[in-house]
Amino acid sequence: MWSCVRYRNRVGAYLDGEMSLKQSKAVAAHVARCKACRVTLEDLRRLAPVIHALEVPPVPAGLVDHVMALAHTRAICPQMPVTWSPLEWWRMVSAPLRLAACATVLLAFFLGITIGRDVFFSGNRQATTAGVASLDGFEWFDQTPPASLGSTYLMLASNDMKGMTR
Amino acid sequence: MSDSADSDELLVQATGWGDLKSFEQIVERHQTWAWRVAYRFIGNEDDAADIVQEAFLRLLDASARYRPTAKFRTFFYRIISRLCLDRAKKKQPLYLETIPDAPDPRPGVSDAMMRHEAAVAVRSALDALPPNQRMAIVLRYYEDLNYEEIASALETTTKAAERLLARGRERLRTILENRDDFFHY
Repeated sequence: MWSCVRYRNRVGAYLDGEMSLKQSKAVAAHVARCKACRVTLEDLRRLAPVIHALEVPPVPAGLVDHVMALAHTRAICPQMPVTWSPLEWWRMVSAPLRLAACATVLLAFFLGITIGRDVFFSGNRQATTAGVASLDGFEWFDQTPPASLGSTYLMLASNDMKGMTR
Repeated sequence: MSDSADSDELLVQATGWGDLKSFEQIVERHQTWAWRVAYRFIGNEDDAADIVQEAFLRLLDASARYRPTAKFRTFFYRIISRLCLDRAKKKQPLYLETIPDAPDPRPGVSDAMMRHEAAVAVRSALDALPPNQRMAIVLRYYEDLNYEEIASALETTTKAAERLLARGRERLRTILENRDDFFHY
């Protein structure tokens, strides 16, 4: 059951035939017993012919020619830069595409935070790696595992240092 | 050339492929109602001509991306509405004091003069509406669009379109009821 104010607000939709049969019957029944809403309905009925009194001058002569001249100019100079406006893009795309764009931005934001956090904390991981490498059998986790070029260089360098100090 | 042979949707697609002859057909076919909407909204011939011209050029630019998922008219109403609303934001509002008095009802005053004065009063009343409400009124009363089509043109919901219409009508009623010849019982 609607309030009288709600009925009055929807009288326009009733007049325009934009209601379901059930709603229309409810409005009609209310209007039959409510003078204020009946007056509103009558005023809206009288409004239509009044509004149609508005005069419109004829289409300006040469409008088609003028539009086509501009269209041909655009066709001849296709390299003219087209200003892309993000707002214009937002207005033209459909609602699902807008949702997808927002989801993509949010996903990129959170991925960036996650990766950034991991990079920030990875400094501690290097010390942990060094500690793990000192354990027996975990030497392969060292930065220069055995038989690698790095370990060979270090071995040669340490032998050279021993030769120099003799 | 009949409409059934070259539908608006096909012509716009052809325009997107670079066929300016198709675009010219679109302009010739739709210039009248586009002009009507723009003029009824903005109330000024120069501004209305600018709006219509810009609307067709935007249609030309968008034709390459156009997909016939919606009817052409719905698509073009949206372009025109957007341009009208943008233009209205730049214009100065019209004050209510400019609404003329009720016409002289004495014999001798021609019907044409009375009709003209009534038209001027309606113009003033429309100009006093907020742009969104004014566009909803124009699309409903002059273009006979249903609520769903109005909502699509204004890029809003059907409920919001209904509210815009209701508020617009209420304001028009309030402005025009001061004239004895409009609402008399």
